[in-house]
Amino acid sequence: MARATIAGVQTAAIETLRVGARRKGWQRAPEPALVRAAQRGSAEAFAELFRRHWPRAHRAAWLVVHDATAAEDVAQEAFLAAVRSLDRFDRGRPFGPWLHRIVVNRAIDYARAREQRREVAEAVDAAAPEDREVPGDDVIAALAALPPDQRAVIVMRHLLGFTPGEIARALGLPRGTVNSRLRRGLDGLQEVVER
Amino acid sequence: MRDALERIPLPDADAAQVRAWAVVADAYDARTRAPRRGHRRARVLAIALATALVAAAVAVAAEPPRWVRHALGEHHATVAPRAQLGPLPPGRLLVSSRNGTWIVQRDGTRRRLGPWTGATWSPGGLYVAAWRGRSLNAVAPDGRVAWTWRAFGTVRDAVWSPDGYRIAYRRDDVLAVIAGDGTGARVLARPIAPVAPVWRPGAPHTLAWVGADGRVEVRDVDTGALMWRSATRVPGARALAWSADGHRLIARGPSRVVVFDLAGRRAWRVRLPRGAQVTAAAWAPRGDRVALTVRVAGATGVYVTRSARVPRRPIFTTSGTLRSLAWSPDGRRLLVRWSEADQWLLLSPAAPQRVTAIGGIARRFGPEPAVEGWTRSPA
Repeated sequence: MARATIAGVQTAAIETLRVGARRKGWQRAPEPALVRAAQRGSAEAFAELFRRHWPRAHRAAWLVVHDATAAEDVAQEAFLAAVRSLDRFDRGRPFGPWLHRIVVNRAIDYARAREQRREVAEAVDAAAPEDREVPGDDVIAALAALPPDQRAVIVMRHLLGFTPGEIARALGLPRGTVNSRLRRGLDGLQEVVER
Repeated sequence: MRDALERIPLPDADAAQVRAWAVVADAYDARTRAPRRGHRRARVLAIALATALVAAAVAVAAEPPRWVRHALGEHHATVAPRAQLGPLPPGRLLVSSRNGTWIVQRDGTRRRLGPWTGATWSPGGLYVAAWRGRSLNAVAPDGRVAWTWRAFGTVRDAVWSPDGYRIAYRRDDVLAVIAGDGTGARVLARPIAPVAPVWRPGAPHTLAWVGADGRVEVRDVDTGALMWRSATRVPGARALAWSADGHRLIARGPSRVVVFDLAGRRAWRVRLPRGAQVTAAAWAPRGDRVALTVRVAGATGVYVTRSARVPRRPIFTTSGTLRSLAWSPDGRRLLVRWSEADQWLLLSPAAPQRVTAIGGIARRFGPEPAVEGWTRSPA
């Protein structure tokens, strides 16, 4: 059996992820069917859920925490929480928003904790200078300049497609607070994005 | 706006997905295994068959010497590995492989700290000193980096002093020390042998290392005062380890184990069978016992001794290679990695028949996973 090699890591797990779902035809299956099959023990269906939702969950986490290792952990822990709660998951609810809410809440917790920590400034590695020409770098810089709470609502609204009301419920905030954070965050970002 | 956010390239995204899937798939697999009895029976049968085949192959391929054969317990060949990491004995494990460093909790959940090549716990388990290339870092258990020091060479074998105020590390043949807040790095000695230095318990800034000539040296790193330098050489020394009370120091070479007393005299030399190689040695947390893995003629045994004499019966024997010997913080269990089987084995010195095997270690952590430390859980 051929095995995929990514970043020097040879693993059969990723093969399940890529091939399993295609073999069983899960790629075109609607999400409720995937959740139901995953609840019944179909590893292929669960792999398809992971394949569909990992990229966005990982991206959302990274945009909030701006730390590759932390983003990976945040998104990974959200999926582990999903596995733990899979049996109790209400199939009538959409899986993605439920997962993304966990991701964003964990990412906010992480980003807040990091901001409160005092670092030894001169010893901490600065961002690699060769990264300066990466596409989207100006957006990253503008996003990084925002407080974590504003980053989170921007990511939820504009990457994950939550409505302000859904963001308010997911984060346990008044809707007015969400709107004001969105407005303040966008003031800084809009100029960069439209440039 | 959405396009802008979607276009931002994420660092290491593909590899992150692979790593995450390996972990998440494990968790899903563990969740589904329990209720599905048919699958479970098939899996148990498959494991039993595979174990029998491996045992048969081993029996044909390797003929261990008599003293090992005498000691072999039949139960050792029939330990079926479990898939879940947890539950483990109380405490938190630090594991490093070529894919990074992880903290493993008692229930088996784990967190990847980062792409470090090695790591060590701080004395209270509040931080980890982790290194990669020229950088030495203090990392919180949630992965946050508190400080980074850029050394003048590749950092290896960092160890945190018992009071947390110093970290000693090797770079090439240089022994250096840095304060626990990442400041004041300075060279202590050169040239030294490629052996991790060890801090003496109970004497916060007293460090032992092996010089390039194979002699063990113990100094106070703040004053530079020499406590002792051993007359006995340990050629090809691989590791040092202090007993918990700081009164004895083990120096392990490839084929000898020497125990030094408080004055640097050779207190005892462990008598090993001819041709034996000691692949690991570790003091029990209370310092009353030493665990050794001894390999001879293709068989490896785990021995626990209170004296210079290696007991006749090991607590575990295998024809494979055993690495990463570590005592649980309560001193009740020994964890050792069985390389060929890709398993961790949890051994009980007090009840050798009680062996727990945990499979898929390299699959979880990456190639050559090493247990770097096992600390108590925070109160």
